[in-house]
Formats: sequence, structure tokens, C-alpha cells
Amino acid sequence: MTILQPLLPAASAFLASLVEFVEALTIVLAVGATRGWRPAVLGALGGTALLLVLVVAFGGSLAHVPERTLALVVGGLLLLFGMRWLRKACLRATGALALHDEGRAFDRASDALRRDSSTPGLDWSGLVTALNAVVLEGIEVVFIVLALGSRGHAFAPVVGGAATAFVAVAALGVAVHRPLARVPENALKLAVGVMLSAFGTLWIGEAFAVEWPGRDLSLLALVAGYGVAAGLATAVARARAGPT
Amino acid sequence: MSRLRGMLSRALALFVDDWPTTVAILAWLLAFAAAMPRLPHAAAGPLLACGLAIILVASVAARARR
Repeated sequence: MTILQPLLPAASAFLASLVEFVEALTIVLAVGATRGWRPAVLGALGGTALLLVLVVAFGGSLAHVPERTLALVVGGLLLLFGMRWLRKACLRATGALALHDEGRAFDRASDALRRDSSTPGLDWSGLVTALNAVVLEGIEVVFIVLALGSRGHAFAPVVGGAATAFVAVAALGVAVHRPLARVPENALKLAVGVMLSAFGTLWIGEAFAVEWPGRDLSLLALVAGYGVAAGLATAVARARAGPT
Repeated sequence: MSRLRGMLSRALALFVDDWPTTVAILAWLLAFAAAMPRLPHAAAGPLLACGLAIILVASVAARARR
């Protein structure tokens, strides 16, 4: 096992979690700004607790799955998940899909929350909105943590990567009190898509008994290859779409 | 029942964004698995990755043209 083994999964988990937590933070901030900080914080904490329960529950059970089955199932799902992110990021880079705009998402959520009449006592509507945002965005983080942590004893570094992203986004949210619109989400999604597709390909190849030369070196080659493919896909799509 | 269906469709949406792309990936994996015993060892990994990269490029190009 080289330094790459815990480092690349941890970096992938960190970057993917950063993107998802920034999106969740936007909604939590909208709840805080329109309905008060109590339901926003309680909802966010409730959602985080629910995600932790999922990680602990499923993380423990994955340890009992045979290695080859794990490589096939986790590798296959990781490949589909990574290719989805990669495809979307390429399409956003070409303009075929709109870029995710945190400022607009914040305004939309704030408007919807203002229209929703408040009730006396604890604001359940605000709390559920914040909890939903954290769970829905966080479920992708849970999958990435479980998938990347399930092989090669990488659970601790992967959880560490995701937790670091959580703390960083939460600290920034407390400090700036507005959506983190300047985070280069699409570039991060593209990088994560490349890394997850590379891991998925490596593992599903192992499930099919592919002998990867120098395992970790093959992983780097796969990362480079998917990076080139993403660049090529973006260039071809731009050419096909014609001048805008 | 509708809540369960909603949860399942959300779970599916984690992995499937575009059905033709997903079907192409799964078909390539099945074809690769079937051909694997006859492939030269050194070529198998690069072939698997090249097929997936071609699917990515074709899928992005097709969606951009729509």
C-alpha cells in the first residue's frame, strides 16, 4: 500500500463533500435568514445525525461482504455515479446545461420560505426544509464515503476527508452568513467525476480479474485518461453545438 | 407507497442521469466480462477504460447537439 491508497480516496471524499455541503449550506442559510436560526441549526444538526447513522449502519455491514462481490457492486455503482458527475460537468462547461448558481438557489429558497406562513412555537417548516437539504445533498456524500471507504481499509481517511469538508463549509457559513457563490463547483465536480470514474473502473476491472500493472500507477493513469476524455468530450460537444 | 417510490427514484437518480448512457456502460461491462477470458492480459485494463471513455465522449456530444 502506497501513500496514494489513502490519499486519493480521502481527497475525492473531501472535494465531493465540499460541493454537496456548499449546496446544503445555501438552503440552511435561506432558512436562517427567513425563518430564524433556531430551526435552521436544529434541522442541519438533525440531518447530519441521520447521515452519520447511515454511515455507521451501512459501513459496518460492508465489512462482511466478500472482496470480489464488493469490487463488482461498489465499483459498478461508483463508475455510474462518477460518470454521471463527469457527464454533467462536461455539459455545464459547454453551456448545454446551466451552471449551478448558489445565489439564485438562495433567492428561490428564501422566496418559497417567505410565502409559507409561520406557526407559533418551533418553526417546523423551516426545520424540515433545513433537514431535507442536508439529507438530500448529504446522501451523495454518504454513498461516496461508504464506497471509497469500503476497500483497502480507507474508511478512516475517507471519513476524515468528508468531515474536514463539513467543518470547513460550516465555519465559512458561520463566518460569511451568505451563500458560497464563489466556490468553483463545476471544476470540483469535474475533478471528483474523474477520480470516482477512475476508482470505479479500477475496481470493476479487478472484479473481472483484470491485472492492473502497478495498481496505484494504473489508478493515476486512469485519472489522467478520464481527464483527457473529459477535455475531449467538452471540445467535441462545443464543436457539435456550434457557435452560440 | 408513493413515498417509497419517491425514495427509490431518488436513489436511482444518484446513478442514472441519462438512460442511454447507463445502458451503454452496462452493455460495455457485460461485453467486456464475456470477452475477458480471451483478451491478452496487458490489453484488458486499457481496453476497459477506453470503451468507457468513448461512451463518455459520445454521450456528451449527443446531449450537446440536442
